[in-house]
Amino acid sequence: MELSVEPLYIEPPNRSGGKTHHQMDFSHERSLDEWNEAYQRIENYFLALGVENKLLLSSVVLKILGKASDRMESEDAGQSPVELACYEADRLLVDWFRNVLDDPGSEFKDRISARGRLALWNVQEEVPWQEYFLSDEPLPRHYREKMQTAYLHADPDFQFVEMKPRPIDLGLVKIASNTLERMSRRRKTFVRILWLIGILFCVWIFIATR
Amino acid sequence: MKTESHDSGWKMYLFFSIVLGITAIGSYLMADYLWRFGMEPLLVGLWIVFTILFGYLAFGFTHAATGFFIRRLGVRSAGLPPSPDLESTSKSSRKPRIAVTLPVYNEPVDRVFAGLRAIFESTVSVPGGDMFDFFVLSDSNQPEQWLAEEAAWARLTRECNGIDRIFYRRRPGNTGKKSGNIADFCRTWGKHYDYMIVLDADSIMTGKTFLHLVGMMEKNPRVALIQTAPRLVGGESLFGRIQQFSNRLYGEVFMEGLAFWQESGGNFWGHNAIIRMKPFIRQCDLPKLPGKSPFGGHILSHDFVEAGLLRRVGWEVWMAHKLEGTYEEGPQGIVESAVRDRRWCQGNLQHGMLLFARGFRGRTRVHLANGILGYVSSPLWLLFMILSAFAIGSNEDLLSAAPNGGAALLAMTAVLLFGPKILCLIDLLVDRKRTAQFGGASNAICSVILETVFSALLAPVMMLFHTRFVLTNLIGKTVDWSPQQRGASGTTLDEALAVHGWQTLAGILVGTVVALVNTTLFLWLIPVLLGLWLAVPVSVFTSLAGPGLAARKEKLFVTPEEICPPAEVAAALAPVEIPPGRFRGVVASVLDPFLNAVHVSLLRRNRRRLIQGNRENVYCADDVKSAPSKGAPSLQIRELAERFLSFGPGSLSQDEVMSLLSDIDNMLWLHREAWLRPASRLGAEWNDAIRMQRASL
Repeated sequence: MELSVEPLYIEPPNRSGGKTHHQMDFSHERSLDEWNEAYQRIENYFLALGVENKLLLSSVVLKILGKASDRMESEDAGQSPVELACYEADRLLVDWFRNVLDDPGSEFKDRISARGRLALWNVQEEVPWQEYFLSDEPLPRHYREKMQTAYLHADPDFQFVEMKPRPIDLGLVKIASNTLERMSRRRKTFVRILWLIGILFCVWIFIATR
Repeated sequence: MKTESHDSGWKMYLFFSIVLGITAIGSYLMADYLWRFGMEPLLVGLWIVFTILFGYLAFGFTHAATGFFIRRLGVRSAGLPPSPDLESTSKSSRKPRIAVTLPVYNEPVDRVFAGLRAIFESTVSVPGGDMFDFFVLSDSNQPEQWLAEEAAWARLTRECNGIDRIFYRRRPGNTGKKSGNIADFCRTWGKHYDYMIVLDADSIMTGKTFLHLVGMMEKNPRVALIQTAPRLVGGESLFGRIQQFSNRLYGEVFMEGLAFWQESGGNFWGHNAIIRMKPFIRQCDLPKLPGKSPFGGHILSHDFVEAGLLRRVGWEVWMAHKLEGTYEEGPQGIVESAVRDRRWCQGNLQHGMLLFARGFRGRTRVHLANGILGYVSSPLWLLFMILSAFAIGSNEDLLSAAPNGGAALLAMTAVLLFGPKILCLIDLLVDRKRTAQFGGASNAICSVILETVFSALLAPVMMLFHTRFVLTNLIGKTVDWSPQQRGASGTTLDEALAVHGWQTLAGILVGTVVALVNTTLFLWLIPVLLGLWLAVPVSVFTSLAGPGLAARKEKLFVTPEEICPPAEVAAALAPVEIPPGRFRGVVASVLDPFLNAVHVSLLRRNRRRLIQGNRENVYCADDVKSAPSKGAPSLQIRELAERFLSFGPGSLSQDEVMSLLSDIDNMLWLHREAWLRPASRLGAEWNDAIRMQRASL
């Protein structure tokens, strides 16, 4: 793994001008706390991605913050360091995924990012991806192929078949339910029958317990 | 269908002749006793109800007696011829494809996936294990549940090298409940497979058992379904362990009796069974029943009906009751058991609609009627007691003459009630090796005595529960099919009071009135009243793990699986360690770079499934509406998403969270936005989670 030490070198804030390419701008508008938050956010994201090598982690975070700092200076878009740093991290990741997955740019960036993350997760055990993560050095061909074919198969190919309910003739129950349904439509008759049954039941209890 | 049927035909006639014979004797003795007091309508009613209940008792007794004699006389067990040995199944030139399906509906994720892992590992370890694919078919409709299942599935596939072997599919709707879930699987992937093994969320089966089942299916092309007899495992509470013990001790003898008469006219219990795909797809998409719920609509207890539909067109359904390596868990308390019974009661009563359906075979009708009577017998028993009380109230001699005039009847009833337990105990004690597996002879005898006492206390409680369930169903009240509670967390005193309070009150009230009116009757009723008076403490005590474990220490209610747990059972039931400091649930699906990607990938696949399926007229149009949406999220979804980020997941209702989680592009957007926004524009829950850093996958 070859790591450039260049991004690790941060010159002390020099507000009198003459900044180098990777020197960050801790300007008055953006406090040190905000840049610290951006640092932590990027670091947390890459930790969540499984980048555990401290050297690589610091290197990548500082590289991204450097780019964010540049952008802040050149665009003055009014965005916070966290936002700018995350945009840069996202852009770098998407570019790296496009490159690794051999995507000509046809997929939307959110989707290529998701596909890349999925591929990364799938090949974590087999591909030493951290050695090449976000670096300009290309991932060896057989690793690239592994990443490109690393899908999570939620299911086999569809082979649709029609499944239609078979009718069941309910026989006696159908006749009885039809009768009851007809009776329930004649509500008055039904209620009278229920009353009659109730009265007969009471009479029977009276006789039985007499 | 070239081979001969193994059905001998005469066994059913013999079996039911015995049942009818016993019932006729009991009914005659009762009539002989009652008619001494005149043939009054009340006594005729009493006699009719008694005859039905006595017949039902005789039915149970005959199972045990038949099973006992078959086992002890060394008669060849009723059932399919033994399957080819495992080696020939695995080395056979024909390699059938088998799908192992695990339908889940808001079940405990850790337990489900621990079980699946144990089953999968057991399967890949046997030769021929590569014939099996595994499907988790989720109908879960709670966000946390859904996401936990996805995460657990992704982890499992990677850790067990199960990519392309273990699959996950979640339906956006719960149409047709479990049978709809299985039908959805059949429509989409059924053509890939020759057989399907259906599991339940708490099922455990071994790879060897799978191979045996496949071997039996391959050898018997007339057979469409083979049901295994799962053993209860995982009991921790006293209730759970008593149920487990009875299932294991009595179950083997009863199953032998059941297998004797049902032969090829077996039943399906919904899980731990193998099914031939083609006839199932052709015959078993269940129609809706006419009328409204609870009797109309979707068929709830689908399994009995599916077996009936297969039998209707000539396929055979068998039970492989001798097959080892098939397990399930049971409820851990009286309350959980009652909750489960309430669901089953509704399903079984609905079978009343199908009892006289044209084309169903006789044995199918017996299974349906038995299921119905299992619940209807409770109100009948209550009715019998009420009628008896009225009869005794109108003629006191009825009771005082009982010891002399009704002695034979009383003795016969006692034999029918306790005979099966004694036969099962004898069956155990004559086999020394098996006796040792139940903790030794003295422990087994003590356990049976205590189990009988517990059953006597439990019976009146369950009678009142079942009566209530039957009556509420009859007046049209339906129940939700909520997932079963598993694990011995225990019933609290408050819960027990809320559930059993009315039973205890009823017991006290009836006891007081009867004691004031007729002391002799009160003494006769004490066994029933005692169960009601003690319902609350018994329910609490037996639901706790402590008494269950204490009984285990004393080697009471011990089962072979407790003494020597099979590797699969031990693995499935081992407590799952949850690694600390990981993203959880809804937050994880947004923040975790991997879980978010897995979730989006599954949404896309599911969307494609529903759209393609509808194009081929396999699914209904409603499903497409509930399919995960794609493209620019609507304004409403974006507003929800903004609220979601600013105030945290707790600010949204469950339905709102579900709609956010079902939107493909929104999930991608949320992942980017949650990481991109400064802390001041994110809810506290997000900031806390971001600080935890660790991915959940």
